Amino acid sequence: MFSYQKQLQYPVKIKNPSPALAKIIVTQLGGPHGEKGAASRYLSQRFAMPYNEVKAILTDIGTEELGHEEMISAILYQLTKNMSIEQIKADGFDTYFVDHTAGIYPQAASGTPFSADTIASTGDVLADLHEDLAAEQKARLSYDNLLRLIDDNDVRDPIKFLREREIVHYQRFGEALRKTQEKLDSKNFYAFNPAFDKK
Amino acid sequence: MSEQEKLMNKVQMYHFAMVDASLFLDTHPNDKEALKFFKRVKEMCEKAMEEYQQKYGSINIKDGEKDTKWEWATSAFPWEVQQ
Repeated sequence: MFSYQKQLQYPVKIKNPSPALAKIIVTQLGGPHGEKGAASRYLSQRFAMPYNEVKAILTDIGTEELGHEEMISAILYQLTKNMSIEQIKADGFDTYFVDHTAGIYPQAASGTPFSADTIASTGDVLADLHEDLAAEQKARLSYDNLLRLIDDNDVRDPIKFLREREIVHYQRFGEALRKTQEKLDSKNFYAFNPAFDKK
Repeated sequence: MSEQEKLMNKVQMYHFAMVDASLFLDTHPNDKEALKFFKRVKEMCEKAMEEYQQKYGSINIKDGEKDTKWEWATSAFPWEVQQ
């Protein structure tokens, strides 16, 4: 089960509202490489994992991603708090505002709503772990691109923290893949799917 | 930075050290040095959390009761920036 802790994983303290930044950062909540997809992916995939250490890493990274979803939401909340109608119009935030006001809604920067396709849970141990390695790189590159677009240090600081975490998660998933392969036939890792086939 | 913010930063720092160490331990469950590190930051985290909760309100729901009040529901939420 899960319980909530009343703290953010890393401080988010933004002084200046900017609907323009909210418009692009929302992609890390509900976009193709966003935190909502990541959390749901790992917390779903763990049921197909036959090895305890791999179940543990998926559980704990998935849980951390829930905290990242909260951090991105806090960034969006602070960027859109006290924004003026003039700012909303000038920054092109009107297309979001008309449906969601300043509420938190998971969508990509392009406006495409969150898609369950990003969860990618296949029930195949090797396919899932390779998906996770790629997903961490894709989240990392999205944060790199956001950092290319953002000047405000109050916003850059938590984004840099989130980018670092993608790199650590990539390392841990690499170890999980190695541990999994050690338990399989080294001549043919794909001889059977330990999550489904009897042997 | 207010005293409350400083203390929350301490909680976040030690809690983060615990999270990061626990991910490492998931794939290295017999690493003695990491186990020692985990134990050390866990103690620091618990101490900082206790101090914060006594002064400023609950972080964990199990500590949400204060005297005759359910303080968990009435204290500030973490996405609000304090003025």
